[in-house]
Amino acid sequence: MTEQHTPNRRDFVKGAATGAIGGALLGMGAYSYSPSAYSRMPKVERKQADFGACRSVKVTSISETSWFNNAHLVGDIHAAGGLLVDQYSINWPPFGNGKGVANGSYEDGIDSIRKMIPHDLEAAWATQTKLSLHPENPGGYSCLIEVEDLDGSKHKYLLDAGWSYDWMDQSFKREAIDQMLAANEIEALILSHEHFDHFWGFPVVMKYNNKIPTYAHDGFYKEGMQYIKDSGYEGDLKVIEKELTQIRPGMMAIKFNVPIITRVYGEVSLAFNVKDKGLVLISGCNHQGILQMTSTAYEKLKYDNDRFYGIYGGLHISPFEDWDPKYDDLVISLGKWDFEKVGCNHCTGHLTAKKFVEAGYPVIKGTARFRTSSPDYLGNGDTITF
Amino acid sequence: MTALSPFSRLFGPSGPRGLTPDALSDLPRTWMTAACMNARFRRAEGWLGLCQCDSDPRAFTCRLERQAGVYGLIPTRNDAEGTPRIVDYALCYFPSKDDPLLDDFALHSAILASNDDTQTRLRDFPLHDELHAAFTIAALRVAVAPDGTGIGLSLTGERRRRVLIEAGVPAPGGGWLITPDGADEDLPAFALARDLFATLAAGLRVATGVSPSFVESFEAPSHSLRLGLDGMLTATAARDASRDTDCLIWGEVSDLAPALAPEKAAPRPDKADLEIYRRDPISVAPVRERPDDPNDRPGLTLLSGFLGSGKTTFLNQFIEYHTGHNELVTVIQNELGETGVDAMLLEGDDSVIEVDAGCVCCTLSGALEPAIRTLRDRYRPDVIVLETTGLANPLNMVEELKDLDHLVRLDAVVTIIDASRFYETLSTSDIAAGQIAAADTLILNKCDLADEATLSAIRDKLVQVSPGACVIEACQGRVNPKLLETGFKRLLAEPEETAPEEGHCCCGHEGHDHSHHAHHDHDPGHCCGCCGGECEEDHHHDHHYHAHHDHSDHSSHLGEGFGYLKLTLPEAVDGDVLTRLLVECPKSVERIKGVVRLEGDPDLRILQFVPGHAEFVMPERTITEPPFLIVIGKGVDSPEQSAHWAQLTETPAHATH
Repeated sequence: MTEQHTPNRRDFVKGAATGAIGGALLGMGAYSYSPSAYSRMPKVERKQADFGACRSVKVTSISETSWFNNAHLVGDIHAAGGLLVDQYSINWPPFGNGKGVANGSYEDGIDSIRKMIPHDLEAAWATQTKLSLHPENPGGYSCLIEVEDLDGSKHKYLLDAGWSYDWMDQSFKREAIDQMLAANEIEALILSHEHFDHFWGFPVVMKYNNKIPTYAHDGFYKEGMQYIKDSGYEGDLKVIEKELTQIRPGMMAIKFNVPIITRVYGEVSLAFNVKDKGLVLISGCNHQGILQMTSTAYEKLKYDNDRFYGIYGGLHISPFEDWDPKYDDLVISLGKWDFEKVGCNHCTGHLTAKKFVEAGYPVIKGTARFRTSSPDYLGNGDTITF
Repeated sequence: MTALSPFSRLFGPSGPRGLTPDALSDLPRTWMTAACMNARFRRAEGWLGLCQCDSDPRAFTCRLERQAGVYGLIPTRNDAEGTPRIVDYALCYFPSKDDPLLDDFALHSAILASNDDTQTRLRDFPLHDELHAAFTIAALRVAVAPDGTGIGLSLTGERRRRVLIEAGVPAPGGGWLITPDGADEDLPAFALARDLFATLAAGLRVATGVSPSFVESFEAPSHSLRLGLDGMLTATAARDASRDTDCLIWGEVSDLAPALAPEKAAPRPDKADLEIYRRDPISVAPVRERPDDPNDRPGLTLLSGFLGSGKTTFLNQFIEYHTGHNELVTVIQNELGETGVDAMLLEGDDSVIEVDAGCVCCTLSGALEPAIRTLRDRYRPDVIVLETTGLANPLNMVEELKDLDHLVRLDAVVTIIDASRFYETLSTSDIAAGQIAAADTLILNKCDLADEATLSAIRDKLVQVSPGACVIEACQGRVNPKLLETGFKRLLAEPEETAPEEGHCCCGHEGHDHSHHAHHDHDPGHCCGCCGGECEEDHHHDHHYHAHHDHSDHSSHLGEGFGYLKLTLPEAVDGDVLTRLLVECPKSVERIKGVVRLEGDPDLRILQFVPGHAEFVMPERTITEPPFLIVIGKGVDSPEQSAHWAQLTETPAHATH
C-alpha cells in the first residue's frame, strides 16, 4: 500500500480539486479536520477622523516636469553609486562643487551660493551652472491648491517648491505665484518630501515670502533642515510628526514613513473632504504607493458619501513590484477605487497615463504646454477642480 | 555630519519613536523596499516581488525564484508601546498546484491549493481564514529597540509538522490514501519558512548596510499530532519532533535578545546552517569603490523582429517600465538610413545611440563594443537594448556577444513576430526564421489581427522552429516587461553547462537548486503557466543555432538583396496620391517609415507602413527634420522601383544607399 501512497494521493488531490471526486467522500471529511487552533486574523478597523469639509478644491499645476532628460538624471544617480546614494552628494545644482559626480556635499554647495539666496537667485544658479552636473536638466514639481471653504472663502496653499531656481522662478511668474506669495495670499507651503525636484527650489519661494508657514516631514535629514534655514527662512516651520495633521477644515496632511531613493525618508500627501462629493487625494510622488495611500485614507479618514472622488499628482508606480506579472499594479489599483476625476502627471509615466485613458478612467486631459510632453498628463499651466 | 544610526534608512533620521503601529508592522516591507533599490539584490536573492493585500495592507504576499509557491506575511500582534516594540507575524506558504511540496501538506490543504481560485484568492489571503489556517507554517517576530539602537528577527516553526490519522483515509477505488496511523501532513515547515526568512534577513542586511551582530539557533522538544477515531487531536510523542528557532539581531543585542530567544529551548548544536545569515548577499560598497563585479554589468536584451512587427511600441513600454523602477535603459539602435525614424518615435533622444548606418550584423565587430563601452561609462545603464533592424539576423550576433561577456550580461533574446503576416514573412525570408530560432522569448504580436485558427497554427509552427522558447501573445506590442526579466537560457554559456538543461520559463522558474537551499529538490521542468500555456513543461533549449554557426550560412540583408531608398518629400504631400502609391507599391516593399505632412494637416506625422496597413502617428517629440520616407525591401533602390515614387517627390527620388 505504502508504495502507492504518493501517486494515489496526487490523483486524489487533483480529482478533488477539479470536482471529479466529490460528494459523499469529500463530505465525510476524515481529513478535513483543522490541524491546529488558528485564530482568526485581526481585521483592519476603520477609525475615521472627522476633519470637516470644504466646498471645492482647485489645483493648478505650476510645474510637473521635474527634469527634462531622464537619461542624464538616472545616469548621474547610477554614476554616483546607485539609488541608495545621498542626493546631496551627487553634485547636482544647487549643491555642486566642481569635483564631479558623487563628490558633492551640502556644505560645499551652500557655501558657493549662501550669500546669493534668496535675493539673487539668477547669480546663485549661474554660479552653480559652472559647478554642477547637468545644470540645464532640472525643472521641478510644484502646484497651487485653492481650497474653497463651505462659506465660500478661498484659501491658497503651495505644494512643493520645485528644483531649478531659473525654471521655478519662470513658472511662478507664469502663474502669478510670485505675486500671491508676496501679497501673503498663500497660507502655507507644504513640502511633500525632501527630494531634489520637490524641495531644492525652496529659495525661490523664499525670494517672495520668507515667512510663509511651512510644513515638512520629520524624515527630513539634517541637510534639508539646514537648507531651510540657509535659504533665509524666518517663518513658522511645522515639522509633521504625527500620521494625521489637520491643516484646515476639510484639509488633512497624511504622513507616510517610507524609504525613498537617494537617501530620502518619508512623504506627506494631502487629503480633502469635498462636501457632497467625497475624498480628494493630492500627492507629490506617492512614493508610499497608491494602495498605501488609498487604504490609509479609507481606514483613517471620514469623508462624504464614503467615496473617493478625485486624485491629483504623480502616481508613482508602486515601489513594490508584484510577483505576478499578470497584474498591472497601478492600473488595477487605481481602477478599484472608482475615482470620478483623475489628474495625473510627473512620475506617473506617459504610457501608464495612456493605459488609464484606455481603461476608461476619467482622466482629465491637459494641454501639453510649457514643455509638458503629453496631453494625457495634467501639465504645466493646466488646472483641475474637484 | 555626525554619523547617523545604521537604521536611519528604516526609521528615518528621527528614529523609530514616532512610528505608528501600522508603520511598525510595515517594517519588513520597508526594508525590502530599501534593499530592492539595489537591483543586484533582487537578482542575487531571486526576489520576484511583493504585493500588498487589499483588505489589510499590512499583509503582503511575495515570491522567491527558488520556490514554486507564494509566501504570505500578516501581523497577528502588534505591541507598539512595549520595550522593545514587538510585532508578531504569521508566515504562510501557499504551494502552487504542481508544487513538489504539495504531497507534504495535509490532504485538505493540498486540495485547497489545487483549486484555481485559491491561486487568485491568496493575493488577498487575510480575507480568507481557511487559507491562512491551512498554510501558516511558522511565526516571525520583529523586535525594535525604542531608541533605534537595534532591530532583531526571530523565526519559529516545527522542524517537521506531522499529523497522523488513526483511522487512515481510504482511497475511492479501494486501498488507502493514508494508511491507518499514517501521516496526513509531514511538512518541513521550518526549513520552508526559513527560505523566506533568510531573504528577509539579507534584505535587512542590505537596507542597513551592516551585518547582524547576533546570530543564534535554538531547538525545543515538540510533538506530532494524532487525529483519533473520536475526531480529537492529541499530541503524540515523536522522537525527532523539534520546534526550531533562528534568531538574528542587528545593533545592540542585550535589550532585544530576551524578546527573541525562545523559552525552554537549547541552542541547536549544528551551527553550519547559520552561515546563510552571515554571507554578504551583495557587495554594498558604492560602485566606484569596489573592483569590477560581474553583477554590475548591465543586462543586455537583444531585440529583433521583422519590419513593422511592433518593436518600437514594445521598446517604449520596456523603457517606461524600467524608468518606473528607477532603472536606466539605453538603446543601441541600428537603423537603415541616416535618419533614424525610430529614434524619433522614442521619448527623449539622448538615450538612443545609433551605432552607424547599415545592418548591425555586418558592422558589429567594429562598432558594438565601443558603443557599449560609451554607454556604460557615460550612463551606467541597468539595461542595454540592442535593437537590430528588422532585417538583421540575431544568430549572427551570438559569437560577437561572447566577446562582450565582460561588459554585459545577456538577459534575453527577444523576437517580435507579426501574427498577421507570419507565413508571408517566414516563406520569403530566411532571416525571419533565424530571428525566431535565436529567440528565447517570442512575442507574438498583433494577435488581434489574426483569427484563432491562424494563431493556433502559428503556435504549432513556433514550437517546431524554436522549441522551448517562451511565447507571449500580445496585441499592440503590449507585454509586461517583467515577463522577460528572469529565467532565460544562458545563451553564451558553455555547452557542457547548458547540456543538462533545466526548465526555463518567463516566470522565472529556472529549476535551479541553489546551493544554500539544497534542502528542496526542485522539479526541473516546472512552469507556472504564466506563458499562456505556450511554455512547454520540460524545456529543452538545445537550440539548433549551433548548426548555424558557420558564418557563410548567415543570412544578411545584403545576401537577400534587401536595400533601401530614401525619398525626400516636399513640405506637404497629397494624401490621395500617397495612399494610391502605398496601395500599389511594389510587392517587394517590406516596410516604409518616415515623416510626412499631408496637405491640409498642420502637423507632421510619422508614417508607419507595412503592406496592407498604414498608420499616421503623432510623434512623441517635436520633429525638426524635413519630411522624408524610407522604403525598405528587396531591390527597392533599383531604378524601376524608384520610379514608382516619382510622383511623390518634387525632385526625382534618389537612392542614398
